[in-house]
Amino acid sequence: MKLEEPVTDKSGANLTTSKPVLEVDSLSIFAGGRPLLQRISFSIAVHEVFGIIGPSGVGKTTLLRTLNRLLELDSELSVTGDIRFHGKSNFAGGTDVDALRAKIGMIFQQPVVFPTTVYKNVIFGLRHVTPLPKKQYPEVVEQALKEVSLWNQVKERLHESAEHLSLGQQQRLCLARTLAVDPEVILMDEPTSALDTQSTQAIEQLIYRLKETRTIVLVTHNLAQAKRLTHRVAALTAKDNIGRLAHLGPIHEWTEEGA
Amino acid sequence: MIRGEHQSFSMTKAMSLGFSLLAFGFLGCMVGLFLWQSLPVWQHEGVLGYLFGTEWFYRADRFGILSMVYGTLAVSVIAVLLATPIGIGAALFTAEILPASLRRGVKLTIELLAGIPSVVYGLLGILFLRNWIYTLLEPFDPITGDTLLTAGILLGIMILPTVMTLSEDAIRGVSASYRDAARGLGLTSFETVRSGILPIAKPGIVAAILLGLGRALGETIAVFLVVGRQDNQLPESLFSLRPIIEPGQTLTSKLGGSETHLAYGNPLHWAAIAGLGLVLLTIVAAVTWLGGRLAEERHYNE
Amino acid sequence: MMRHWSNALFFLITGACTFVGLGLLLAILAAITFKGLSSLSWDFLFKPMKEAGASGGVFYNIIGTVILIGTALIVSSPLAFALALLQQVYLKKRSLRRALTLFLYLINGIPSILFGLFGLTVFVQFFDWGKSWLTGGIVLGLMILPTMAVAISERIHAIPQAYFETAAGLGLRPAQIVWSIFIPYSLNGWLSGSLLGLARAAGETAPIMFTATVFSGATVPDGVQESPVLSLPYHIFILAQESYNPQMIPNLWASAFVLVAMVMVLSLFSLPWRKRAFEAKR
Repeated sequence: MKLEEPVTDKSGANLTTSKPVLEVDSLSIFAGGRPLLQRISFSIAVHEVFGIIGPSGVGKTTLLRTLNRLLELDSELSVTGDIRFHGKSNFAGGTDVDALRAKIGMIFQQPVVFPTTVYKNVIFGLRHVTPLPKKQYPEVVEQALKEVSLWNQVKERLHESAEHLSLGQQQRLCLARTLAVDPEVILMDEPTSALDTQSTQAIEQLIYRLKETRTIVLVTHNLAQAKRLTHRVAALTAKDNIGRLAHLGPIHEWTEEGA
Repeated sequence: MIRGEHQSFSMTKAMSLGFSLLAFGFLGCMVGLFLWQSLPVWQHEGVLGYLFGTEWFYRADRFGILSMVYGTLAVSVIAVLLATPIGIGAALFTAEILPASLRRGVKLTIELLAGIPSVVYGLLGILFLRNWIYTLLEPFDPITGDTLLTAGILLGIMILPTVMTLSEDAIRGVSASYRDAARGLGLTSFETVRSGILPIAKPGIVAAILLGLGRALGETIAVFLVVGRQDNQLPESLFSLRPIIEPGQTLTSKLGGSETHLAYGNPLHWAAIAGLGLVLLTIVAAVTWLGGRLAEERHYNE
Repeated sequence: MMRHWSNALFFLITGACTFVGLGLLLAILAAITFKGLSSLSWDFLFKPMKEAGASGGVFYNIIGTVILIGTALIVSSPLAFALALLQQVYLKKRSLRRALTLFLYLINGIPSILFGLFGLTVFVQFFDWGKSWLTGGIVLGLMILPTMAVAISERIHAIPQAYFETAAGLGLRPAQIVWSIFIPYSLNGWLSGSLLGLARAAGETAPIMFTATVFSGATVPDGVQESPVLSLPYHIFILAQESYNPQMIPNLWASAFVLVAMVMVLSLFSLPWRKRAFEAKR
């Protein structure tokens, strides 16, 4: 398959007129007293595919994980600045972080499949996060798996272990699991870097299709992929080991000379 | 690589094998010894008669160990029932909720405290616990504060560090990616633990409990000091709990007592004592083996 | 809303468990420390016992315990190295290596009283040594063997492949590689294993009460047969049974404190060598 020029609307007209979904406002991230990322600002429009690119180690993943406040779970990094979701600060007191994370889903570099059945993997988040009655689960599972083009491959094996799926299928299963809780934004952390070419294409096709209904933030080190998929990118560069925003806008406007 | 290389005879290898054989020899001896030394009593009482006999009167050559098996199981079950919820709760809090810096401190403290010698626990049992238990049991007209319950509670405290620290290892052993995936879907800490972490950590946690149980079954000194050491105490019906709050005897408290000295010279009595050792060894080895299997399963998953 | 309540409850309950567990254990330590320190003196440490433990000190008990664990260390070290080398170097089959792991694991689980019973039967009675420090040392040495062997074995396993490839490349024979690579680079494993094992051995009563130690009437042994030692754990064990006599209480606390301090110091010293266990975890 060939992905043609992905975005009809390269001008980004809707990016300026509609209200942004996510706004990153002068965000800095510190380890101890030392800054890792400094004063990053950008905003992401509804149904945009927004790329975050840059050399490895510059803090792309760290930045991505602050967007749904996953970062704070595992590390002792501190954050200044602000991130707003539909205009409301993620860091405001009284924010329901769990509900926020349900609205801003995440896909990781390595597919994370729980050691249980395909079916249970899909409903893993759904059964806690949504008030859906149990008898509707099969319907949602089918829909989610169809959305990621996995249904035909696993419909006979729904109650078998998900760990037997291929890596590419596992990643799509993770995407289905995320879609089942119906997030508005999906954060993707190099979702294809662990996959072979064919699975990569499948995931790229999915992203291409998903942007009709969701907003996607895609971290990638693969410039060709970013060119194929994204409307705009935030390009990070490291200077004195501090990551900064070097470019914001359509990727074709970015030249790598500084990086 | 050296690990697979051809090897000719070397002094180093011979020494290594020799010393290893010595170690195996000693420990193989142990099993054989208890088996061999206990033969007379198996013949005298019959296997079932010895294991399920309800009367132990060494002066009358009656050797049935059921009451001691009962005592051992009773104190160990009480200990596990106490240590398991607290230990796993503390392990979850330490592994999942405490920040890394505090977690290390808590772990270290618990592991150090696991080293307090059992005779010291026994001392605390004698000086404090048995008096508290006596007061607590007042409504039931207790004879003394030295009861199976006292020993069980003391054991529960003793195995708490084992259960806690090994469960914590099992929980921390679950790859962080599962945690991130679950939290990334919007699950709360509790939901993440219940649906994501616990199912994966389960074999390791069960292993932790089994190892705690193994320690409780074999603990001697602390139990000896507070169990009352009253022979032939058995419940009247299967579900009667009365003997729990009365003095009892366990396999280890009998082995640690004066009869072990007394018995030598009387082959039958000595055989009965060695038999206790054999039974204890079998029970503990079975529990430990099971725990080891589960713990191993966890390691191979990583 | 339910979700948040259940999550809050989860924090509360597990937090309470941690508080209770940690609090209980720290309270025990605090009780021993305060009560023990208040009855502790230099005389207590350096004078022998008098009046069946009611007065005097625990000098020979400390000496006895040190003799016992020192012997245990000497007995156990060569056996532990041998088992570790067997596991990591000489055993070729994976199944055999796993069987050895399981074996060590099982030995580690054997109740200490059974080691005592074993020593009583074999050394005290068959060999007719009577109660002897040597029996105690052997029995304790066997008891801590798994701890030590596993610590050494893990360390050998962690030696980078490149080290012995280099050594082999230089033409060293396998035995020479063992002496120049495996043993020197696993010494810190031996050290941490020993300290941990000895911390456990120092506090054990059950293995030595029939085999090596008496309550009174022994000083420094001068032979093997019928030469028991005094020891701290047995001292506490006997005095604990006399604790209805209030005269005994101060000395009991002080003895318990000395024993706990000894054990803690041994475990604490093993920490720097155990630190890796934490580093390895994320």
